[in-house]
Formats: sequence, C-alpha cells, structure tokens
Amino acid sequence: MIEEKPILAIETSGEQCSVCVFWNNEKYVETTSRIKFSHSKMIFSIVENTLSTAEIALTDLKSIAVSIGPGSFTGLRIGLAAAKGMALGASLSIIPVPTFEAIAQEALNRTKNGEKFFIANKVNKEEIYLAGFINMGNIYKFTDELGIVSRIELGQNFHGKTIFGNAGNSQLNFPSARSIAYWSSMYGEKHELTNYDLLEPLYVKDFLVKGLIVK
Amino acid sequence: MKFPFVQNISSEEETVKLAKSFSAFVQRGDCVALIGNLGTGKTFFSKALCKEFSIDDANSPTFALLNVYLGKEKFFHFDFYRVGSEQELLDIGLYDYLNDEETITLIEWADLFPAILPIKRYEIEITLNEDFSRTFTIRKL
Repeated sequence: MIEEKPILAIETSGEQCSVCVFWNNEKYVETTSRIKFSHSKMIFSIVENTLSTAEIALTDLKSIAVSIGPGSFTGLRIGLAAAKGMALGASLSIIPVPTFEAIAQEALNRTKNGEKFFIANKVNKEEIYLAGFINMGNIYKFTDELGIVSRIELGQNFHGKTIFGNAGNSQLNFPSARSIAYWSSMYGEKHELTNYDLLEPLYVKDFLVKGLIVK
Repeated sequence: MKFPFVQNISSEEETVKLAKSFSAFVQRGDCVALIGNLGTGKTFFSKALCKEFSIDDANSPTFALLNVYLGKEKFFHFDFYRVGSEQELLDIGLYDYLNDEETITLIEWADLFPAILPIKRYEIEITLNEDFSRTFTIRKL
C-alpha cells in the first residue's frame, strides 16, 4: 500500500508561528514557536526543522495549507508569502484555510452536539472579529456570519456564551498548524488552488489609509 | 494633570518634570503621538518619559524607524519622519505593534500619517515660541 503524501500546514494568524507535516490526526509532526514579532525570522527555520524531523522533502508533499485569516495583518502576509514561495518552487498547490473555520472544527471537541458557540478574536483595541457556529456532531454550521463588532457590544450582548478565540472566555485561541492541516484534509479538496498569484489574506476589515484601501 | 493640558516650558529641566507628571497616566497598551517641528524637543521628551520607566538608552528612531526598549514597561518608539507612505507603515507591521496591549507606543511625527493612528491615544503637540520657550499641549483622545 502506498501511503498518501502529507500536507504541510502553516499557521501565523496570531502569536503562534506553527508548522505541521500532516498525514492524519494519528501521524503528524508539528513545531510551534510563540514569540511576538518573530514570525518572519522563524518561519523558514521552523519549516526546515519540521520537514527534517518528518524526513520529508518539500517536493514529496501533497500540498501546502495556509491559514488565511482573519488575524494579524503582518502574520497573515508572512504565512501566505512563505506558502506561495515554497509552493511555486516545489510545484505544489495551496489550500487557503479560513482561520475561524479551523478553530470551529477544533471547537467541536470542546462543545456538545447542538451547542452554539462563538469565535472572537481581537482586530485592534476597539474591535473584534466575531462569528457564530453550532456543533452538529462531526461538523459545524455557521449561525452568525463572520463580521466585526465593537468590544463594548461583545461585552454587552455575548455575556455568558461560549466564546473561543483571544477575545473569548475559553482556552482555544488561535488554531495550531495541525488544526489547519486537519481542516484542509476534511474540506480542502474543493478549495485547492494551483493558480494562487492573486490569493490574499482574508482581512474582513478594510485597512483604511489616505488614498488607499488595503483589503 | 487634567486633559487637555497646556504648559509653557522654558528649560530642559521643566520638560523632564512634565514627562514625569505625564508618566503617571501612561499605561500598557497606550499610544502617545508626538507632534512638532524639527528641534521642538519630541525626542528629548520621549527620552525623559522613557527614563521614568527605567529606560536609559532611548534614542531617536529617525533612521531605524522603530526602537524597542525594555524597562519597567516595554516601549515601541516610532518616528514617521522618514516614512514615505502609509503603505510603508503597513509593510513594517505597524498595526500589529499598535495592537500589542502589553507595550506602550511612542510615535514622533505622528501627524504625518494621522489616518493610521489609533482612535484612542494621547497626543502631545509641541510648538516653538518666539522667545524659544515651548508650549506643550497634551490631549487625551
């Protein structure tokens, strides 16, 4: 039996710079560093170490899954730029993974069937990225579309609810690279891109600066 | 100190005193935007403020764009003077620095790119008077 090729997953949407060589949930190699403002310095050495521990060459991968946001403005660009560079060099496809959906998939293990939960991550000091989900057993379903609310609104309207993410009240903040890989193994096929030149991070918020809108 | 706060200052010693008084209000996550022409004393004030947090190596970030200091608190010290566009600031990750709630951010020449500044911030405007005294206006936005 020929073993399926692994996925290389990259997660840089938050404080973690996490990389995973993933065959399945029982077989993977994951390396994570959690040092602020160091993703650009760390990412390629982490990729190299993870591939070397897994005894896999870049060209032996099936594809590269990358967390596309929402999340840190710079972190997402570092992750996506690294993924594009490696994919181009090794002729691999890219699977863009919506960060909140990877967290939602992970949250299924921490919530009950039928339970509603939210994911809330900080945009800045005033605003929060927020989406609502319901646990449907092995899958999640959106109940509230991904959007932006104020911190005041979150405090007033979501008190007592199960909230994951770094603005939430539960321990699951940002996903690990393994969660990104797992999501891509479940749903990635229809999202897989061989032409990823125009692939951009999912910022949700437009970063408004004079004469320029960075989406 | 009540904001807006206005004071005329005639010596470096008085600037140090003002920085000391202001330091009592500055907390982790705050952004302090400094506005004033060349030679008005933005960097001197920044150094005096950092000194209150046991930081002795604060210096002008005009060429480095960003200096990072560690004392009783951590500081990011930006200078927008040499920055050509808002895009450059996005490229160096300004938003991620501004959103760090454990650090105090100082920005010299903040008025060059007002659209990119956080809504909540302290704004310190320094104007040079004819008699070479300075007028410091501190606002809490």
